[in-house]
Amino acid sequence: MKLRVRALQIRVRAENGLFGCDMTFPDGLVLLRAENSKGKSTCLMSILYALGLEGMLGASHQVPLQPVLLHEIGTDEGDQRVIDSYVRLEIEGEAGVVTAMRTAAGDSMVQKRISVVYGPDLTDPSKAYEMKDFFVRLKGDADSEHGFHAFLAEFVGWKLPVLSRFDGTRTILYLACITPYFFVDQLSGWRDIKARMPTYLQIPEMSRRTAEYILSLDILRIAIANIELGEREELLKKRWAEIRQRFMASLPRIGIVPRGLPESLPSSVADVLAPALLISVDDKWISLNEYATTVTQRARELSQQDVPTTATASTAAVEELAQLEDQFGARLRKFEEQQVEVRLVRDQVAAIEKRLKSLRENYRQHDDDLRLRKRGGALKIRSAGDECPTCGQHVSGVLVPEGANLRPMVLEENLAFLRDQVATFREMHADAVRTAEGKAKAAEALSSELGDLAAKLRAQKELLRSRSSSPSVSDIQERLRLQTRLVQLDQAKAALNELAEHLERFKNDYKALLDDRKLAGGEKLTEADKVKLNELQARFLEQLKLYQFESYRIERLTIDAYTYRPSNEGVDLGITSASDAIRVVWAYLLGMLEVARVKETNHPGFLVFDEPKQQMVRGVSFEALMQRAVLSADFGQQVIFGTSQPVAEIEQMLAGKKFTMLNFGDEKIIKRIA
Amino acid sequence: MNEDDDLGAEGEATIILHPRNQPFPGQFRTVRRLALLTLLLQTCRGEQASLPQLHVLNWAVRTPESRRAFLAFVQGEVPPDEAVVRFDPTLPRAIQYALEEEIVSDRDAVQETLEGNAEVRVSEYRIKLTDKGRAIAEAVEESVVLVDERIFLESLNKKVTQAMVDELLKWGKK
Repeated sequence: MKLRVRALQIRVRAENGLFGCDMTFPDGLVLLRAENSKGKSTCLMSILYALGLEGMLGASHQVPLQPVLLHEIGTDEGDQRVIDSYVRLEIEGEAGVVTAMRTAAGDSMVQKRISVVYGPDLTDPSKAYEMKDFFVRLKGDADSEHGFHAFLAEFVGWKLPVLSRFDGTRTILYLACITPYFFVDQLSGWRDIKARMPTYLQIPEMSRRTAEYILSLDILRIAIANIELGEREELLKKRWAEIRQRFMASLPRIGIVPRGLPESLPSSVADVLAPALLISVDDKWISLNEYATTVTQRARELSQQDVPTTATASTAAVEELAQLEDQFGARLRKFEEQQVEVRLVRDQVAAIEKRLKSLRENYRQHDDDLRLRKRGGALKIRSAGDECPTCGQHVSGVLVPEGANLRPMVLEENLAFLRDQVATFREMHADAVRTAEGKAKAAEALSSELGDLAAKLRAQKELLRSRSSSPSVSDIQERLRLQTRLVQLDQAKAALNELAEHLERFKNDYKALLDDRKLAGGEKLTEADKVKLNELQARFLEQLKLYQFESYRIERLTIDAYTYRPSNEGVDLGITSASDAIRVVWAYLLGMLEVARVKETNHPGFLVFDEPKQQMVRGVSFEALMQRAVLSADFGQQVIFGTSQPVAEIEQMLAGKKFTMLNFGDEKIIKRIA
Repeated sequence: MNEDDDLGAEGEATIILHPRNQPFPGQFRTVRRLALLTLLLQTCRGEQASLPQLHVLNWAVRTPESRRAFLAFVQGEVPPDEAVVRFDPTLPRAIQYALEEEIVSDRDAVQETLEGNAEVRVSEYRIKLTDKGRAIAEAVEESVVLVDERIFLESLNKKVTQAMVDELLKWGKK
């Protein structure tokens, strides 16, 4: 990862001439020195603007530059209207040196274009360089071919992670999210470390994820692997449902019930099995094989006999007809009863589902409460410790009158209670679904049986009406029925074979997923991560000492293993005094830069500090900071500082050290050129 | 312990009842509601709201059903009589807690009363988010809590006007 600013050029054309500035930036500490309000911040913001990274400042699409580049410039002949203006920035990255140009004063579409010249066009201008236009601050600037941030990320060597949003959609970790780790603006960058996180981008846990990315922690890779595994699992779940559905649809509708093959994906590969098939005969469930044997046997028996004539058949025929009619009536009543039962049990399933939904919602609300309570101390909410915010007495943690005749469960107890309830209702649900399926299948079997009986009845009546020499219709019917049934049973067998093939392939993919999941492991810090965080912590604390931080006892401070931000005995450092807030930002961001010297991280090796507002720096040990920042030269890193410190003081502070000073004295930085 | 002992020589059994704590709906949990209140106020213009406004938003965000009904109403798909606002007696309590925690403030309104030159009518009473409340809202936005509620509030896109609130409440009274 590498990003260095090599040269900056600003041009403003006014009615009475051309104004601007040119500067170059070597490695190491570069001090951009000028008196206050002479244009330091404008230059530093121009760097941000030229890279299209102003999104870190907020959702606004207004150009974050001073009026001097946009509307009106103060000149030796009074204020003049700005006709047009642009910023050009030569940068060096892993992929060489390019020069980016972006218009400042102009219409908003022109401002969304950044022209890139593939070469050091400011320090070594040439007509031979290739050029390409990119767009920025429009949808797709981070991930499409003509998006500038996609280009910039590749240029710097960043491969930005893709995270998942709350609603399940994916989003790339935008460059604007990681910019606050190497660019501190004057206005609010110094308030505290997270002040500049562009939360409007709606990326969950953005400040954690960006810190993980900058430090290149394994835990982020694990988290991303888990997101991908989650997606693969979703696909497999869908495929499982499809396989199951296709199988169920290809079964002949004669009331066959599969035992096994649950609706939702089983949790272990061993349970991915072809089901046993059952069929309901005379209200008993028997295996399909058994049934097939019976049917085949009966068919064979019949085929060995001649078809009887009506005369031989009709002696018992009247009696048989009466019997059949009785049977049909009884089965029909049974069928109607079954229909009612099916409806009832389906209603039950729906009711349980409704209850489960509301239990889950309730559980989620409790879980939110628990998570918020855990952060309650850091947020200084007294109620989070079940403490009355007025009098400090114990309170119940629910919004009911204290002392009323109620004994609310404490949160954890309530959560456990809800977990039990959910578990119970899930069992009930699974049970009810099984029952509903069984009942529906039994009804299907009975319906097919009713069809057979009706056919038999018709045949029997036909038989009694027909002449005595003709063959028995009911016998023929029976033979036909058995033949059809045999065909249907073959269909079921074929469906089962096809299913087995699908399941075999499915099993392999499922096993691969479960193996990968085991390999990915849980989302926690690895040993290597901890080493990096310790390194950051050591450097952070060391600097606080040098900078004379005094809000808390330094030995109590740590870099939190969850938020990766400075914390005081587990509580986010939060707001300290203005000057200590500055020390914390210095120490933390410089610490990140320093870790990149000894560990592999994604830090660009580049840091810009605009000067904090005057009233905030009082008593801040600027000297210690500069001496620390000077070390960046030894590691080929770059730290750019805006400052108004007097030249003599700077030279004294950094006597004998290697640094660069771009001194503009008390002149305006952007001045007349022509 | 031998169970027979409990039955006693005379065959009398002693039954001891242990009062069990009651489960409560998550809606009642104080900390969650304080955090939610900061989000509701952030949905309002100037991060402040009147009590009726808060009652409406509080009802709207409550359940998946109310969220759906309210969104439909905002988009003009449902007449207000189908989205009937329920006043939640725990809201004033939550506001009381929030005032004590200094997450919100009603000081502007109260001060005017003390100075006494003009009566501050109930309709002018406003609850306003404080810096601390804003910090809590920011912390919520950074973590994985109140997710459904946030998705809902975002989709409102600050489009809840006083007129809508009045319309809903008017229907509630009929």
